[in-house]
Amino acid sequence: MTILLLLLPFPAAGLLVAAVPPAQLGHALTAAALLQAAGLAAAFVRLRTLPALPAPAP
Amino acid sequence: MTPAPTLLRGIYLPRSADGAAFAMATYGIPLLVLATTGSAALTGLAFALEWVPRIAAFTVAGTLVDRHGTARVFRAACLARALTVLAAAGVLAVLDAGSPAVTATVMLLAASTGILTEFSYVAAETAGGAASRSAGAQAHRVQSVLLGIDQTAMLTGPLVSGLLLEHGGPTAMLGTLAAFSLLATALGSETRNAPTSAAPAQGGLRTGWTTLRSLPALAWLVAGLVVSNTAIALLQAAMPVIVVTELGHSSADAGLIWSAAAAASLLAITAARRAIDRWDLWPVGAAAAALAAGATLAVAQADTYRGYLLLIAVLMAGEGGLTVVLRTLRSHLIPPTSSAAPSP
Repeated sequence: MTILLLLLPFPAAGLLVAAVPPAQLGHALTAAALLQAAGLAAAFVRLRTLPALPAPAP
Repeated sequence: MTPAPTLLRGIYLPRSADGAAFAMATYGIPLLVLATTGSAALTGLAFALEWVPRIAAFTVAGTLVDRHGTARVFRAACLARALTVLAAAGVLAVLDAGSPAVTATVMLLAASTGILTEFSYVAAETAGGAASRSAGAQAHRVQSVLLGIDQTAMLTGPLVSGLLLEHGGPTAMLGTLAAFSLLATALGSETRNAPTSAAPAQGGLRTGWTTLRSLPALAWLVAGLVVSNTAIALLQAAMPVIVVTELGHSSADAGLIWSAAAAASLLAITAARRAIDRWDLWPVGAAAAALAAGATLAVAQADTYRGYLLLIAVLMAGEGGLTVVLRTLRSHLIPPTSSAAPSP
């Protein structure tokens, strides 16, 4: 399930590139970059407050 | 009775040939579409056409591998991919570039290689997992070799595809891709990994979803990585257009970006494992996330080829670190499954 979820953005990205004029791809990349920064920040802030991530085996 | 093949002959060599074909198909076919059609929109569409069947086939491939065994599915998928690619190379060699028939051929090629590559990948991955379990205490060595094979393929595949396309044209690129597929078919073991009784794929997905919902730490990490993958996927889909059409560089230069990124990712994976041993999961994950997000924000402002090359390498280094964190967390929270059907 995790692998499937992680792969879902790939076809969506292809469709986006198909739909956006080449000159506008930079704006799409900026939006994706901002989304990525917000998403990763939210995930790691949340992970900080959840029960601690398990430490690796010694 | 035929003796069981060695790991090298039964697992590593077929996976190497299939991995080369996988990497060439993934990175080379969008470049081929751009070279033959000159259309950015069709290049994006081909990228989507490669991935939609790949995702759609995911559960089916697992079920088929469980039902028919890894060897049969692997060899059938590799042979079908070789024949499909050879047929496309033949058609492209006789048609005029830019004609509707050429466009239809490369788009069909993208979709068919996507689905067949997924079948061979799932079969190879399942065979590798079974070999790991059979190795007992040496399982980590088997996994290390498999990871090394995959990373080497991802490192060389994009550059080789680009170089072949630039200097030899579609026939050379597709001919090499078909040769790797035929080699994988020939090397595919006949004796390993008999069919197993499989859980229905739908049930596997439902179980995976339930497991994910019950483990908030894993769910948040996966959610973050899905968003992060959106940026990476967009870069991957857009890079042929940006490098070749916008910046005026060659197909080989576009391939080099992802080869350099794979090298950076490989180094980051090695470093992340040691860093997790020393500093634990959260700090390493947060540092990798900051690196990836910062690099993507910088990539979005880049306007030179060298900028894209360096920043995408940094981005993929961060992503490599995040992947190690995810795999480690998943292995701690979820017991391994023996089936090829999708796991949580």
